[in-house]
Amino acid sequence: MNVGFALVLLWSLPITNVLAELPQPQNLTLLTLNTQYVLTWDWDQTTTGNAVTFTAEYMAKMKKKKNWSRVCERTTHTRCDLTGSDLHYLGMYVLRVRASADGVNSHWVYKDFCPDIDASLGPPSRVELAPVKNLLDVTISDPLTSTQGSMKEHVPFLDYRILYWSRSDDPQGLKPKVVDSSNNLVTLPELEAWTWYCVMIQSRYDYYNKTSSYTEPQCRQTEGDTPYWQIFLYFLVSMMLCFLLVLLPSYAFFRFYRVLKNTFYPSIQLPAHIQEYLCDSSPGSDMPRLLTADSEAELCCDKLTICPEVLLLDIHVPPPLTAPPSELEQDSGRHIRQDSGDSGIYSTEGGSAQQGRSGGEPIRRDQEVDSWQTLEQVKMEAMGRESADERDLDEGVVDVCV
Amino acid sequence: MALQTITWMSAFLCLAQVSSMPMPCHLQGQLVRITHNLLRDMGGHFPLECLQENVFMAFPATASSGASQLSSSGATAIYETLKNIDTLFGADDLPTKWDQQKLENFQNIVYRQIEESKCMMVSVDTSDYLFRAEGLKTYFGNIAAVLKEKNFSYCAWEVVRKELLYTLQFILEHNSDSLLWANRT
Repeated sequence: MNVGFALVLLWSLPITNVLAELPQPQNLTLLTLNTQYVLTWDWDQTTTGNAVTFTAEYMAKMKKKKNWSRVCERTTHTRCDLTGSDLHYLGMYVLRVRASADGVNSHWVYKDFCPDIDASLGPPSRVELAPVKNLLDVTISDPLTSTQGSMKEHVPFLDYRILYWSRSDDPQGLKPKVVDSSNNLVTLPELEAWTWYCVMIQSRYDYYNKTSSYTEPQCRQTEGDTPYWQIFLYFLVSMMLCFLLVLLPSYAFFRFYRVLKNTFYPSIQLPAHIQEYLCDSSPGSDMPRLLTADSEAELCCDKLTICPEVLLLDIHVPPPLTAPPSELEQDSGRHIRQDSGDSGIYSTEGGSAQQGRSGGEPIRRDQEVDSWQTLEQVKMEAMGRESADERDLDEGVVDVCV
Repeated sequence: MALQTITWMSAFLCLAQVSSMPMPCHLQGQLVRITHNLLRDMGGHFPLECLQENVFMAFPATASSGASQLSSSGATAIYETLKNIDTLFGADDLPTKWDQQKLENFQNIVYRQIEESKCMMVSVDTSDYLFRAEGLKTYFGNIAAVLKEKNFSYCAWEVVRKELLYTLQFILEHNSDSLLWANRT
Protein backbone atom coordinates (compact mmCIF):
# COMPACT_ATOMS: atom_id res chain seq x y z
CA MET A 1 0.00 0.00 0.00
CA ASN A 2 2.77 2.38 0.89
CA VAL A 3 4.49 1.44 -2.31
CA GLY A 4 1.33 2.06 -4.29
CA PHE A 5 0.85 5.39 -2.64
CA ALA A 6 4.42 6.26 -3.43
CA LEU A 7 3.98 5.22 -7.03
CA VAL A 8 0.90 7.40 -7.38
CA LEU A 9 2.77 10.31 -5.96
CA LEU A 10 5.65 9.68 -8.31
CA TRP A 11 3.32 9.62 -11.26
CA SER A 12 1.42 12.70 -10.25
CA LEU A 13 4.47 14.74 -9.61
CA PRO A 14 5.71 14.82 -13.20
CA ILE A 15 2.13 15.46 -14.39
CA THR A 16 1.73 18.39 -12.07
CA ASN A 17 5.17 19.50 -13.03
CA VAL A 18 4.27 19.40 -16.70
CA LEU A 19 1.06 21.28 -16.02
CA ALA A 20 2.71 23.80 -13.73
CA GLU A 21 5.79 24.32 -15.77
CA LEU A 22 5.78 27.22 -18.11
CA PRO A 23 8.51 27.42 -20.68
CA GLN A 24 11.19 29.93 -20.02
CA PRO A 25 11.77 32.92 -22.21
CA GLN A 26 14.51 32.15 -24.69
CA ASN A 27 17.47 34.01 -26.12
CA LEU A 28 17.87 36.83 -23.72
CA THR A 29 19.59 39.62 -25.62
CA LEU A 30 20.36 43.20 -24.85
CA LEU A 31 19.85 45.89 -27.44
CA THR A 32 22.04 48.74 -26.37
CA LEU A 33 23.09 52.13 -27.59
CA ASN A 34 25.25 54.29 -25.35
CA THR A 35 23.31 54.23 -22.06
CA GLN A 36 20.05 52.91 -23.48
CA TYR A 37 19.55 49.25 -22.62
CA VAL A 38 16.61 47.17 -23.75
CA LEU A 39 16.37 43.54 -22.70
CA THR A 40 14.56 41.36 -25.21
CA TRP A 41 13.71 37.69 -25.30
CA ASP A 42 11.90 35.20 -27.45
CA TRP A 43 8.65 33.59 -26.54
CA ASP A 44 6.88 30.87 -28.40
CA GLN A 45 3.22 31.88 -28.60
CA THR A 46 1.99 28.55 -29.83
CA THR A 47 2.69 26.70 -26.60
CA THR A 48 0.31 28.74 -24.49
CA GLY A 49 -2.46 30.68 -26.14
CA ASN A 50 -3.42 32.51 -22.96
CA ALA A 51 -2.23 35.91 -22.01
CA VAL A 52 1.31 35.55 -20.80
CA THR A 53 3.05 38.24 -18.82
CA PHE A 54 6.73 38.65 -18.09
CA THR A 55 8.65 40.00 -15.15
CA ALA A 56 12.18 41.33 -15.37
CA GLU A 57 14.56 42.11 -12.51
CA TYR A 58 18.16 43.11 -12.04
CA MET A 59 20.72 43.12 -9.27
CA ALA A 60 24.34 44.09 -8.81
CA LYS A 61 26.36 40.95 -9.11
CA MET A 62 28.47 41.46 -6.01
CA LYS A 63 25.48 41.37 -3.70
CA LYS A 64 25.62 38.61 -1.22
CA LYS A 65 22.07 39.15 -0.09
CA LYS A 66 19.88 38.54 -3.09
CA ASN A 67 18.13 41.84 -3.29
CA TRP A 68 16.53 41.98 -6.73
CA SER A 69 15.15 45.20 -8.13
CA ARG A 70 12.10 44.79 -10.29
CA VAL A 71 12.10 46.70 -13.55
CA CYS A 72 9.20 45.38 -15.61
CA GLU A 73 6.28 43.82 -13.78
CA ARG A 74 3.85 41.64 -15.69
CA THR A 75 4.43 43.15 -19.07
CA THR A 76 2.89 41.58 -22.16
CA HIS A 77 5.74 42.68 -24.38
CA THR A 78 8.79 40.55 -24.88
CA ARG A 79 11.05 43.43 -24.06
CA CYS A 80 11.98 45.54 -21.05
CA ASP A 81 13.63 48.96 -21.05
CA LEU A 82 16.34 49.25 -18.41
CA THR A 83 17.44 52.78 -19.31
CA GLY A 84 15.66 54.40 -16.41
CA SER A 85 17.03 52.00 -13.83
CA ASP A 86 20.19 54.02 -13.38
CA LEU A 87 22.64 51.20 -13.93
CA HIS A 88 26.18 52.31 -13.28
CA TYR A 89 28.12 52.16 -16.51
CA LEU A 90 31.11 50.45 -14.90
CA GLY A 91 29.13 48.13 -12.71
CA MET A 92 28.40 44.47 -13.22
CA TYR A 93 24.79 43.32 -13.05
CA VAL A 94 22.73 40.23 -13.34
CA LEU A 95 19.39 40.38 -15.15
CA ARG A 96 16.64 37.83 -14.96
CA VAL A 97 13.30 37.27 -16.67
CA ARG A 98 10.46 34.83 -16.16
CA ALA A 99 7.09 34.29 -17.72
CA SER A 100 3.80 34.05 -15.82
CA ALA A 101 0.43 32.70 -16.92
CA ASP A 102 -2.56 31.75 -14.82
CA GLY A 103 -0.67 32.14 -11.60
CA VAL A 104 2.06 29.84 -12.76
CA ASN A 105 5.58 31.14 -13.16
CA SER A 106 8.38 29.84 -15.25
CA HIS A 107 11.93 29.52 -14.06
CA TRP A 108 14.13 32.51 -14.12
CA VAL A 109 16.50 33.03 -17.00
CA TYR A 110 19.71 34.87 -16.06
CA LYS A 111 22.04 37.06 -17.95
CA ASP A 112 25.16 38.95 -16.89
CA PHE A 113 25.48 42.47 -18.06
CA CYS A 114 28.20 45.06 -17.70
CA PRO A 115 27.52 48.19 -19.77
CA ASP A 116 31.19 49.08 -19.98
CA ILE A 117 31.92 45.77 -21.68
CA ASP A 118 28.66 44.92 -23.41
CA ALA A 119 26.84 48.12 -24.30
CA SER A 120 27.46 49.23 -27.86
CA LEU A 121 28.64 52.70 -28.70
CA GLY A 122 26.75 55.19 -30.83
CA PRO A 123 28.23 57.41 -33.53
CA PRO A 124 29.00 61.07 -32.88
CA SER A 125 25.82 63.04 -32.34
CA ARG A 126 26.78 65.87 -34.71
CA VAL A 127 29.47 66.56 -37.28
CA GLU A 128 30.20 69.97 -38.68
CA LEU A 129 32.58 70.83 -41.47
CA ALA A 130 34.08 74.26 -41.89
CA PRO A 131 36.49 75.18 -44.66
CA VAL A 132 39.60 77.05 -43.62
CA LYS A 133 41.44 78.16 -46.73
CA ASN A 134 42.47 74.89 -48.32
CA LEU A 135 41.91 72.72 -45.21
CA LEU A 136 38.79 71.40 -43.54
CA ASP A 137 37.98 71.74 -39.85
CA VAL A 138 35.86 68.89 -38.52
CA THR A 139 33.95 69.57 -35.31
CA ILE A 140 32.73 66.38 -33.65
CA SER A 141 30.06 66.31 -30.96
CA ASP A 142 30.29 63.33 -28.58
CA PRO A 143 27.67 60.60 -28.59
CA LEU A 144 25.01 61.39 -26.03
CA THR A 145 23.77 59.45 -23.02
CA SER A 146 20.07 59.01 -22.31
CA THR A 147 20.23 62.17 -20.16
CA GLN A 148 21.81 64.16 -23.03
CA GLY A 149 25.22 64.20 -21.39
CA SER A 150 28.43 63.30 -23.17
CA MET A 151 29.47 59.68 -23.34
CA LYS A 152 32.97 60.79 -22.43
CA GLU A 153 31.96 60.92 -18.79
CA HIS A 154 31.56 57.15 -18.86
CA VAL A 155 34.15 56.40 -21.50
CA PRO A 156 36.99 58.88 -20.98
CA PHE A 157 39.14 57.37 -23.70
CA LEU A 158 36.68 57.68 -26.52
CA ASP A 159 38.40 57.96 -29.90
CA TYR A 160 37.16 58.94 -33.31
CA ARG A 161 38.09 57.53 -36.66
CA ILE A 162 37.60 59.93 -39.54
CA LEU A 163 37.38 58.71 -43.11
CA TYR A 164 37.61 61.30 -45.85
CA TRP A 165 37.88 61.22 -49.60
CA SER A 166 37.71 63.55 -52.54
CA ARG A 167 34.33 63.50 -54.24
CA SER A 168 35.75 64.12 -57.66
CA ASP A 169 38.46 61.46 -57.51
CA ASP A 170 36.50 58.83 -55.59
CA PRO A 171 32.74 59.37 -55.80
CA GLN A 172 31.82 56.19 -53.93
CA GLY A 173 34.31 56.62 -51.14
CA LEU A 174 35.98 53.29 -51.74
CA LYS A 175 39.50 54.35 -50.90
CA PRO A 176 39.26 56.87 -48.13
CA LYS A 177 42.06 58.28 -46.05
CA VAL A 178 42.01 57.68 -42.31
CA VAL A 179 42.69 59.98 -39.38
CA ASP A 180 42.37 58.81 -35.77
CA SER A 181 41.92 61.35 -33.03
CA SER A 182 40.48 61.72 -29.57
CA ASN A 183 39.95 65.45 -29.99
CA ASN A 184 36.66 66.99 -30.87
CA LEU A 185 38.21 69.37 -33.37
CA VAL A 186 40.28 67.86 -36.13
CA THR A 187 41.86 69.59 -39.10
CA LEU A 188 42.20 67.41 -42.16
CA PRO A 189 45.63 68.00 -43.66
CA GLU A 190 46.95 68.12 -47.19
CA LEU A 191 43.80 68.87 -49.05
CA GLU A 192 43.49 70.51 -52.42
CA ALA A 193 41.89 73.88 -52.77
CA TRP A 194 38.44 74.28 -54.32
CA THR A 195 37.68 70.54 -54.10
CA TRP A 196 34.70 68.73 -52.65
CA TYR A 197 35.54 66.32 -49.84
CA CYS A 198 33.24 63.90 -48.01
CA VAL A 199 33.69 62.80 -44.40
CA MET A 200 32.43 59.85 -42.32
CA ILE A 201 33.15 59.46 -38.61
CA GLN A 202 33.03 56.53 -36.22
CA SER A 203 33.47 56.54 -32.45
CA ARG A 204 35.64 53.84 -30.89
CA TYR A 205 36.50 52.44 -27.49
CA ASP A 206 39.63 50.47 -28.13
CA TYR A 207 40.04 48.65 -24.81
CA TYR A 208 36.91 46.62 -25.32
CA ASN A 209 37.02 46.85 -29.11
CA LYS A 210 33.84 48.79 -29.28
CA THR A 211 33.17 50.60 -32.55
CA SER A 212 30.10 52.50 -33.53
CA SER A 213 28.53 52.77 -36.93
CA TYR A 214 29.66 55.52 -39.26
CA THR A 215 27.87 58.80 -39.57
CA GLU A 216 26.23 59.72 -42.86
CA PRO A 217 28.76 61.12 -45.32
CA GLN A 218 28.91 64.88 -45.23
CA CYS A 219 30.51 66.80 -48.05
CA ARG A 220 32.05 70.25 -48.16
CA GLN A 221 34.15 72.19 -50.58
CA THR A 222 37.50 73.55 -49.51
CA GLU A 223 38.41 77.09 -50.31
CA GLY A 224 41.65 78.56 -51.36
CA ASP A 225 43.36 81.75 -52.31
CA THR A 226 41.19 84.18 -54.18
CA PRO A 227 41.84 83.77 -57.90
CA TYR A 228 43.48 86.70 -59.67
CA TRP A 229 40.57 87.36 -61.99
CA GLN A 230 38.28 87.79 -59.00
CA ILE A 231 40.60 90.30 -57.39
CA PHE A 232 40.81 92.19 -60.68
CA LEU A 233 37.04 92.14 -61.10
CA TYR A 234 36.42 93.50 -57.61
CA PHE A 235 38.98 96.19 -58.25
CA LEU A 236 37.31 97.24 -61.48
CA VAL A 237 33.85 97.31 -59.96
CA SER A 238 34.94 99.32 -56.98
CA MET A 239 36.79 101.72 -59.21
CA MET A 240 33.71 102.26 -61.39
CA LEU A 241 31.53 102.78 -58.37
CA CYS A 242 33.94 105.29 -56.97
CA PHE A 243 34.02 107.10 -60.27
CA LEU A 244 30.24 107.23 -60.55
CA LEU A 245 29.55 108.22 -57.01
CA VAL A 246 32.45 110.48 -56.21
CA LEU A 247 34.37 111.78 -59.21
CA LEU A 248 31.56 112.48 -61.61
CA PRO A 249 29.49 114.60 -59.24
CA SER A 250 32.61 116.45 -58.09
CA TYR A 251 33.61 117.25 -61.64
CA ALA A 252 30.09 118.37 -62.53
CA PHE A 253 29.96 120.53 -59.47
CA PHE A 254 33.21 122.32 -60.24
CA ARG A 255 32.44 122.72 -63.91
CA PHE A 256 29.02 124.22 -63.48
CA TYR A 257 29.71 125.95 -60.21
CA ARG A 258 29.81 129.39 -61.80
CA VAL A 259 26.64 128.85 -63.76
CA LEU A 260 24.81 127.54 -60.76
CA LYS A 261 26.07 130.30 -58.57
CA ASN A 262 25.00 132.99 -60.98
CA THR A 263 21.62 131.38 -61.47
CA PHE A 264 20.66 130.99 -57.91
CA TYR A 265 22.86 133.48 -56.12
CA PRO A 266 23.56 136.38 -58.56
CA SER A 267 26.11 138.92 -57.39
CA ILE A 268 24.36 141.94 -58.92
CA GLN A 269 21.10 142.64 -57.24
CA LEU A 270 18.32 144.76 -58.60
CA PRO A 271 17.99 148.16 -56.91
CA ALA A 272 15.63 148.10 -54.09
CA HIS A 273 13.02 150.41 -55.59
CA ILE A 274 12.84 148.44 -58.79
CA GLN A 275 12.75 145.23 -56.94
CA GLU A 276 9.86 146.30 -54.84
CA TYR A 277 8.25 147.68 -57.91
CA LEU A 278 8.47 144.35 -59.62
CA CYS A 279 7.48 142.52 -56.61
CA ASP A 280 4.65 144.78 -55.61
CA SER A 281 1.68 143.48 -57.47
CA SER A 282 -1.18 144.91 -55.46
CA PRO A 283 -3.63 146.65 -57.67
CA GLY A 284 -4.28 149.53 -55.34
CA SER A 285 -0.82 151.04 -55.37
CA ASP A 286 -0.12 154.17 -57.28
CA MET A 287 3.26 153.12 -58.61
CA PRO A 288 3.66 153.69 -62.30
CA ARG A 289 3.66 150.51 -64.21
CA LEU A 290 5.35 149.39 -67.30
CA LEU A 291 2.62 147.14 -68.19
CA THR A 292 -0.91 147.58 -66.99
CA ALA A 293 -3.58 145.06 -67.13
CA ASP A 294 -5.45 146.72 -69.89
CA SER A 295 -2.43 147.70 -71.93
CA GLU A 296 -3.78 145.79 -74.82
CA ALA A 297 -6.79 148.15 -75.18
CA GLU A 298 -6.50 150.49 -78.07
CA LEU A 299 -5.75 154.05 -77.26
CA CYS A 300 -7.43 156.69 -79.42
CA CYS A 301 -5.94 160.07 -79.43
CA ASP A 302 -6.47 163.31 -81.40
CA LYS A 303 -4.34 164.00 -84.38
CA LEU A 304 -1.39 165.97 -83.37
CA THR A 305 0.87 167.89 -85.77
CA ILE A 306 4.10 169.20 -84.61
CA CYS A 307 5.44 172.39 -86.15
CA PRO A 308 8.02 174.88 -85.29
CA GLU A 309 6.84 178.13 -83.83
CA VAL A 310 7.24 181.48 -85.84
CA LEU A 311 9.71 183.71 -84.06
CA LEU A 312 8.92 187.11 -82.83
CA LEU A 313 12.17 188.88 -82.44
CA ASP A 314 12.51 191.73 -79.96
CA ILE A 315 14.85 193.94 -81.92
CA HIS A 316 15.58 197.64 -81.34
CA VAL A 317 14.51 199.42 -84.41
CA PRO A 318 16.86 202.35 -85.11
CA PRO A 319 15.40 205.79 -85.99
CA PRO A 320 13.74 205.99 -89.32
CA LEU A 321 16.43 208.35 -90.74
CA THR A 322 18.97 206.01 -90.98
CA ALA A 323 16.59 203.31 -91.53
CA PRO A 324 16.00 203.30 -95.24
CA PRO A 325 19.53 203.71 -96.38
CA SER A 326 20.55 201.35 -93.89
CA GLU A 327 17.95 199.13 -95.24
CA LEU A 328 19.26 199.68 -98.73
CA GLU A 329 22.70 199.36 -97.55
CA GLN A 330 21.65 196.55 -95.70
CA ASP A 331 20.41 195.12 -98.90
CA SER A 332 23.52 195.83 -100.77
CA GLY A 333 25.63 195.46 -97.88
CA ARG A 334 23.86 192.43 -97.30
CA HIS A 335 24.58 191.30 -100.69
CA ILE A 336 28.16 192.25 -100.41
CA ARG A 337 28.50 190.96 -97.04
CA GLN A 338 26.86 187.92 -98.12
CA ASP A 339 29.40 187.52 -100.77
CA SER A 340 32.24 187.91 -98.45
CA GLY A 341 30.70 186.44 -95.50
CA ASP A 342 28.47 183.60 -95.42
CA SER A 343 28.61 182.33 -98.84
CA GLY A 344 26.87 179.29 -97.75
CA ILE A 345 23.98 181.13 -96.41
CA TYR A 346 24.05 183.51 -99.40
CA SER A 347 23.55 180.86 -101.88
CA THR A 348 20.33 179.93 -100.49
CA GLU A 349 19.50 183.22 -99.02
CA GLY A 350 20.16 185.05 -102.17
CA GLY A 351 17.68 183.10 -103.99
CA SER A 352 15.18 183.52 -101.39
CA ALA A 353 15.96 187.19 -100.99
CA GLN A 354 15.64 187.81 -104.68
CA GLN A 355 12.41 186.19 -104.88
CA GLY A 356 10.56 189.04 -103.72
CA ARG A 357 10.94 189.88 -100.20
CA SER A 358 12.05 193.37 -99.46
CA GLY A 359 13.86 194.19 -96.37
CA GLY A 360 12.26 196.00 -93.67
CA GLU A 361 9.03 194.34 -93.89
CA PRO A 362 8.06 192.88 -90.57
CA ILE A 363 8.21 189.35 -90.28
CA ARG A 364 4.85 187.78 -90.04
CA ARG A 365 3.94 184.81 -88.19
CA ASP A 366 2.55 182.59 -90.76
CA GLN A 367 1.73 178.93 -90.37
CA GLU A 368 1.99 178.22 -94.02
CA VAL A 369 5.34 179.76 -94.61
CA ASP A 370 8.30 177.61 -95.04
CA SER A 371 10.06 177.47 -91.77
CA TRP A 372 13.54 177.32 -93.14
CA GLN A 373 13.07 180.44 -95.24
CA THR A 374 11.69 182.39 -92.37
CA LEU A 375 14.50 181.42 -90.10
CA GLU A 376 17.10 182.46 -92.60
CA GLN A 377 15.47 185.81 -93.13
CA VAL A 378 15.64 186.56 -89.51
CA LYS A 379 19.25 185.69 -89.43
CA MET A 380 20.02 187.86 -92.41
CA GLU A 381 18.38 190.83 -90.90
CA ALA A 382 20.21 190.38 -87.70
CA MET A 383 23.51 190.14 -89.45
CA GLY A 384 22.83 193.12 -91.67
CA ARG A 385 22.17 195.30 -88.70
CA GLU A 386 25.33 194.37 -87.13
CA SER A 387 27.45 195.10 -90.05
CA ALA A 388 25.93 198.41 -90.92
CA ASP A 389 25.83 199.84 -87.53
CA GLU A 390 28.09 199.05 -84.83
CA ARG A 391 25.50 199.79 -82.42
CA ASP A 392 24.49 197.68 -79.70
CA LEU A 393 21.72 195.54 -80.65
CA ASP A 394 19.78 193.81 -78.17
CA GLU A 395 20.15 190.30 -78.63
CA GLY A 396 17.13 189.01 -80.22
CA VAL A 397 15.21 186.52 -78.42
CA VAL A 398 14.48 183.97 -80.95
CA ASP A 399 11.54 181.91 -80.36
CA VAL A 400 11.63 178.86 -82.29
CA CYS A 401 8.77 176.49 -81.96
CA VAL A 402 9.45 172.97 -82.31
CA MET B 1 59.18 17.88 -19.75
CA ALA B 2 59.51 20.30 -16.85
CA LEU B 3 61.98 22.29 -18.88
CA GLN B 4 59.55 22.55 -21.72
CA THR B 5 56.81 23.76 -19.41
CA ILE B 6 59.10 26.34 -17.90
CA THR B 7 60.17 27.49 -21.37
CA TRP B 8 56.60 27.92 -22.47
CA MET B 9 55.70 29.70 -19.25
CA SER B 10 58.63 32.09 -19.56
CA ALA B 11 57.86 32.70 -23.20
CA PHE B 12 54.32 33.45 -22.26
CA LEU B 13 55.46 35.77 -19.48
CA CYS B 14 57.83 37.53 -21.83
CA LEU B 15 55.05 37.96 -24.32
CA ALA B 16 52.79 39.29 -21.63
CA GLN B 17 55.35 41.88 -20.65
CA VAL B 18 56.57 42.92 -24.09
CA SER B 19 53.26 43.07 -25.87
CA SER B 20 51.50 46.42 -25.73
CA MET B 21 48.17 45.16 -26.89
CA PRO B 22 45.47 45.68 -24.30
CA MET B 23 44.81 42.26 -22.85
CA PRO B 24 41.66 41.69 -20.85
CA CYS B 25 43.69 40.31 -17.98
CA HIS B 26 45.08 43.58 -16.83
CA LEU B 27 43.84 45.84 -14.16
CA GLN B 28 42.63 49.06 -15.60
CA GLY B 29 44.12 52.11 -13.95
CA GLN B 30 41.00 54.08 -14.70
CA LEU B 31 38.87 51.67 -12.69
CA VAL B 32 41.21 51.84 -9.67
CA ARG B 33 41.04 55.60 -9.82
CA ILE B 34 37.25 55.52 -9.93
CA THR B 35 37.20 53.09 -7.02
CA HIS B 36 39.30 55.50 -5.00
CA ASN B 37 37.09 58.46 -5.96
CA LEU B 38 33.91 56.67 -4.98
CA LEU B 39 35.34 55.69 -1.61
CA ARG B 40 36.40 59.27 -1.04
CA ASP B 41 33.05 60.74 -2.05
CA MET B 42 30.71 58.40 -0.21
CA GLY B 43 31.48 60.19 3.05
CA GLY B 44 32.90 63.54 4.07
CA HIS B 45 36.18 64.32 5.80
CA PHE B 46 37.31 62.21 8.71
CA PRO B 47 34.90 63.13 11.49
CA LEU B 48 36.41 64.94 14.46
CA GLU B 49 34.60 62.84 16.99
CA CYS B 50 36.45 59.77 15.78
CA LEU B 51 39.91 61.22 16.21
CA GLN B 52 40.61 59.53 19.50
CA GLU B 53 39.64 56.20 18.00
CA ASN B 54 42.20 56.55 15.29
CA VAL B 55 44.48 53.55 15.17
CA PHE B 56 47.77 53.45 13.40
CA MET B 57 48.16 50.54 11.06
CA ALA B 58 51.40 49.83 9.29
CA PHE B 59 50.82 49.55 5.62
CA PRO B 60 52.98 46.94 3.95
CA ALA B 61 54.58 49.14 1.35
CA THR B 62 56.93 46.35 0.44
CA ALA B 63 54.00 44.31 -0.67
CA SER B 64 53.42 46.36 -3.72
CA SER B 65 56.76 48.05 -4.26
CA GLY B 66 59.51 47.02 -6.62
CA ALA B 67 57.16 46.23 -9.42
CA SER B 68 58.39 46.84 -12.95
CA GLN B 69 56.30 47.81 -15.94
CA LEU B 70 53.30 45.58 -16.36
CA SER B 71 54.93 43.22 -13.92
CA SER B 72 52.62 40.50 -12.83
CA SER B 73 53.71 40.61 -9.21
CA GLY B 74 52.78 44.22 -8.78
CA ALA B 75 49.46 43.65 -10.46
CA THR B 76 48.69 40.59 -8.37
CA ALA B 77 49.38 42.58 -5.25
CA ILE B 78 46.83 45.08 -6.35
CA TYR B 79 44.48 42.28 -7.20
CA GLU B 80 44.89 40.84 -3.76
CA THR B 81 44.26 44.23 -2.22
CA LEU B 82 41.03 44.54 -4.13
CA LYS B 83 39.99 41.07 -3.09
CA ASN B 84 40.56 41.90 0.51
CA ILE B 85 38.60 45.12 0.21
CA ASP B 86 35.75 43.19 -1.31
CA THR B 87 35.80 40.77 1.60
CA LEU B 88 35.90 43.59 4.10
CA PHE B 89 32.97 45.40 2.56
CA GLY B 90 31.00 42.26 2.29
CA ALA B 91 29.95 42.72 5.89
CA ASP B 92 26.37 43.31 6.68
CA ASP B 93 26.16 46.43 8.70
CA LEU B 94 27.86 49.12 6.70
CA PRO B 95 27.29 52.66 7.94
CA THR B 96 24.07 54.21 6.77
CA LYS B 97 25.55 57.70 6.98
CA TRP B 98 27.48 57.00 3.81
CA ASP B 99 25.98 57.67 0.39
CA GLN B 100 24.36 54.31 -0.28
CA GLN B 101 24.35 54.66 -4.05
CA LYS B 102 28.06 55.47 -4.13
CA LEU B 103 28.77 52.69 -1.69
CA GLU B 104 26.94 50.23 -3.87
CA ASN B 105 28.77 51.43 -6.97
CA PHE B 106 32.06 51.15 -5.12
CA GLN B 107 31.42 47.57 -4.16
CA ASN B 108 30.19 46.82 -7.64
CA ILE B 109 33.29 48.11 -9.37
CA VAL B 110 35.63 46.39 -6.94
CA TYR B 111 33.85 43.14 -7.61
CA ARG B 112 33.95 43.70 -11.33
CA GLN B 113 37.69 44.27 -11.30
CA ILE B 114 38.21 41.07 -9.41
CA GLU B 115 36.03 39.20 -11.88
CA GLU B 116 37.85 40.62 -14.84
CA SER B 117 41.34 40.08 -13.49
CA LYS B 118 40.86 36.53 -12.24
CA CYS B 119 42.94 35.36 -15.14
CA MET B 120 45.87 37.15 -13.58
CA MET B 121 46.30 34.44 -11.02
CA VAL B 122 47.19 31.94 -13.73
CA SER B 123 50.59 33.30 -14.60
CA VAL B 124 52.06 34.18 -11.26
CA ASP B 125 55.52 34.04 -9.85
CA THR B 126 54.76 31.99 -6.83
CA SER B 127 57.58 32.92 -4.48
CA ASP B 128 57.22 36.62 -4.98
CA TYR B 129 53.49 36.36 -4.82
CA LEU B 130 53.51 34.53 -1.53
CA PHE B 131 55.76 37.11 0.00
CA ARG B 132 53.57 39.97 -1.06
CA ALA B 133 50.34 38.18 -0.23
CA GLU B 134 51.57 37.53 3.28
CA GLY B 135 52.15 41.19 3.98
CA LEU B 136 48.75 42.14 2.68
CA LYS B 137 47.07 39.41 4.63
CA THR B 138 48.56 40.68 7.88
CA TYR B 139 47.51 44.22 7.09
CA PHE B 140 43.93 43.43 6.30
CA GLY B 141 43.78 41.11 9.26
CA ASN B 142 44.65 44.05 11.45
CA ILE B 143 41.93 46.14 9.93
CA ALA B 144 39.33 43.44 10.44
CA ALA B 145 40.44 43.02 14.04
CA VAL B 146 40.08 46.76 14.67
CA LEU B 147 36.60 46.67 13.22
CA LYS B 148 35.58 43.80 15.32
CA GLU B 149 37.12 45.30 18.39
CA LYS B 150 35.21 48.53 17.97
CA ASN B 151 32.08 46.56 17.30
CA PHE B 152 31.61 47.75 13.72
CA SER B 153 30.86 51.27 14.93
CA TYR B 154 30.63 54.20 12.62
CA CYS B 155 33.97 55.55 13.82
CA ALA B 156 35.59 52.18 13.21
CA TRP B 157 34.32 52.18 9.67
CA GLU B 158 35.57 55.69 9.17
CA VAL B 159 39.01 54.61 10.29
CA VAL B 160 38.86 51.72 7.87
CA ARG B 161 37.77 54.02 5.08
CA LYS B 162 40.65 56.36 5.82
CA GLU B 163 43.12 53.52 5.69
CA LEU B 164 41.78 52.15 2.43
CA LEU B 165 41.86 55.56 0.85
CA TYR B 166 45.51 55.79 1.76
CA THR B 167 46.14 52.34 0.32
CA LEU B 168 44.46 53.10 -2.98
CA GLN B 169 46.27 56.41 -3.20
CA PHE B 170 49.55 54.64 -2.67
CA ILE B 171 48.78 52.17 -5.41
CA LEU B 172 47.86 54.92 -7.83
CA GLU B 173 51.00 56.87 -7.11
CA HIS B 174 53.65 54.17 -6.82
CA ASN B 175 52.22 51.27 -8.70
CA SER B 176 50.70 52.89 -11.71
CA ASP B 177 53.13 51.00 -13.90
CA SER B 178 51.41 47.77 -12.98
CA LEU B 179 48.12 49.16 -14.14
CA LEU B 180 46.95 49.54 -17.67
CA TRP B 181 46.27 53.08 -18.66
CA ALA B 182 44.68 53.78 -22.02
CA ASN B 183 46.90 55.92 -24.25
CA ARG B 184 45.41 59.15 -25.51
CA THR B 185 46.32 59.92 -29.10
